[in-house]
Amino acid sequence: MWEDILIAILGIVVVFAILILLQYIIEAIHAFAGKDDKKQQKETIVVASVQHDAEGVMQEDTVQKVKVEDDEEELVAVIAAAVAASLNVSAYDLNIKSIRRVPPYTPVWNKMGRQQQLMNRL
Amino acid sequence: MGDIFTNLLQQTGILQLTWQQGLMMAIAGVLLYLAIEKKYEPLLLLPISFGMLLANLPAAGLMNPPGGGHIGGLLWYLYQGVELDIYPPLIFLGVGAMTDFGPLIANPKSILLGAAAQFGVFLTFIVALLMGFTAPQSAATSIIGGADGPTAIYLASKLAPELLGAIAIAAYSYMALVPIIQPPIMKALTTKKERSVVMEQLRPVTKAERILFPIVVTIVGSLLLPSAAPLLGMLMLGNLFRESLVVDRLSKTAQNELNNIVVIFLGVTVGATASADKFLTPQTLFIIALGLVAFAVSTAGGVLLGKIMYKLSGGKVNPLIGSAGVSAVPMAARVSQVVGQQENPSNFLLMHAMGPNVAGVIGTAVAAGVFLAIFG
Repeated sequence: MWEDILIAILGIVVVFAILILLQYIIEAIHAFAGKDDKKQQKETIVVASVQHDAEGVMQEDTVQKVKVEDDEEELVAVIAAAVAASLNVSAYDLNIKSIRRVPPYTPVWNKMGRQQQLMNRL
Repeated sequence: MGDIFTNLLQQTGILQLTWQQGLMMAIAGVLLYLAIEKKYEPLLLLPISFGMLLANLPAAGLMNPPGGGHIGGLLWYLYQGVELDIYPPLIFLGVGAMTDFGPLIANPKSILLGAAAQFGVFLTFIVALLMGFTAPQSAATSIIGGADGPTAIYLASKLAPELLGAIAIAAYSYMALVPIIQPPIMKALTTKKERSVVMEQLRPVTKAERILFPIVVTIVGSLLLPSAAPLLGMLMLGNLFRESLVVDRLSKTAQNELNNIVVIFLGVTVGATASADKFLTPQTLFIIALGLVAFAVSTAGGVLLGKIMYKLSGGKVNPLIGSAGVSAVPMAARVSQVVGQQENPSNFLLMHAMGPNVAGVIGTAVAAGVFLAIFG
């Protein structure tokens, strides 16, 4: 019986030891790779809600893909302007809730095919 | 003419039906009702209970192995995926592709709550031994406390295949009952002040961190505990599919089509192991009782460590996220959120609870690895 209790104690100690080790590893990964995303170009998705004041409040969600450069504030301004232009409303009526990255949806073979067609027409 | 009719009648299953099989079919009917009407984990409970029904049909022989001129039953062949430990790691591939480890990476300390929630597993192991189970049977039964179905099936198929049906049914039933079992324990162990703590917002996690995490965890985890490598490796591969952003199609397949196919095979065949001779024993009742003990102690373990972290952090950690250390993802995290909001409606604990929740998946896989290393 004592042997079994020892197994149980050993088990919980091993679980804690491995997970504590993982905790330190995650912290090490953060120290090593936690600050790199700024300079990369990113694809982002914009969710903007548009409010019309003429006939009550109308909300509309719009999704657009854009390329992100270094300056995020400038980027937000560009996205807001682009969404405003495409919706034909003033940028002041826009309320941008969030901008987040999305994975590329187009398979690489499609991209290749498009590029080849473009190249053929040049 | 009379002889032909008698022969025909004897060929049907009706005359061969035993009362035990009838009872098992009735139990399967109750489980089907719970899955369809009450929506208790229907994705798994429905195929499990139907598998149970099929395995107890007299003379159908769906679980018969090949031999004696017969080619073997359909479910016996599908069951080889359980016996050879193929299905649970494949389920983990899908779980990895569906899981966002971001909250855990953003708050690494929450991994300790996932470890504390394994207390129930090891305590129940001792209780099961005292009740007369063998050591491997006790290990397989106690893992129900981890609230992780695929891990429970994986361990049971290796250590105690004769108890697989009962363990799987107990594990998935309790996972469905998380919103009923956990809140009273959480409220009993915490004060109103502790439950009202609003936690700081989590920091953003970079893409590099998200990619390095599954790779490093696989290497370190598998080097330390090779027996956990199939589960941990597939979990992390699925997560790498998701986070790398370059294999979107593979990630979607792992999350949807592949996962669904494996769930069908796994559910039906695990249910089919619950034949009358194996299921209608006192052991099944003990397993169901032990599962509840394991689950309750695991919840309490997580909450109690959460209380310690609350004290050590000077009141910055809400102990309610500790209960999410049992790995029923994302149900346990949702329970933390709901109980937290009952005290403070503007409190959002969900993302904070997801950290211990996904840590619980890793913790249960490690606990299973420990048992396999000792008894496997």
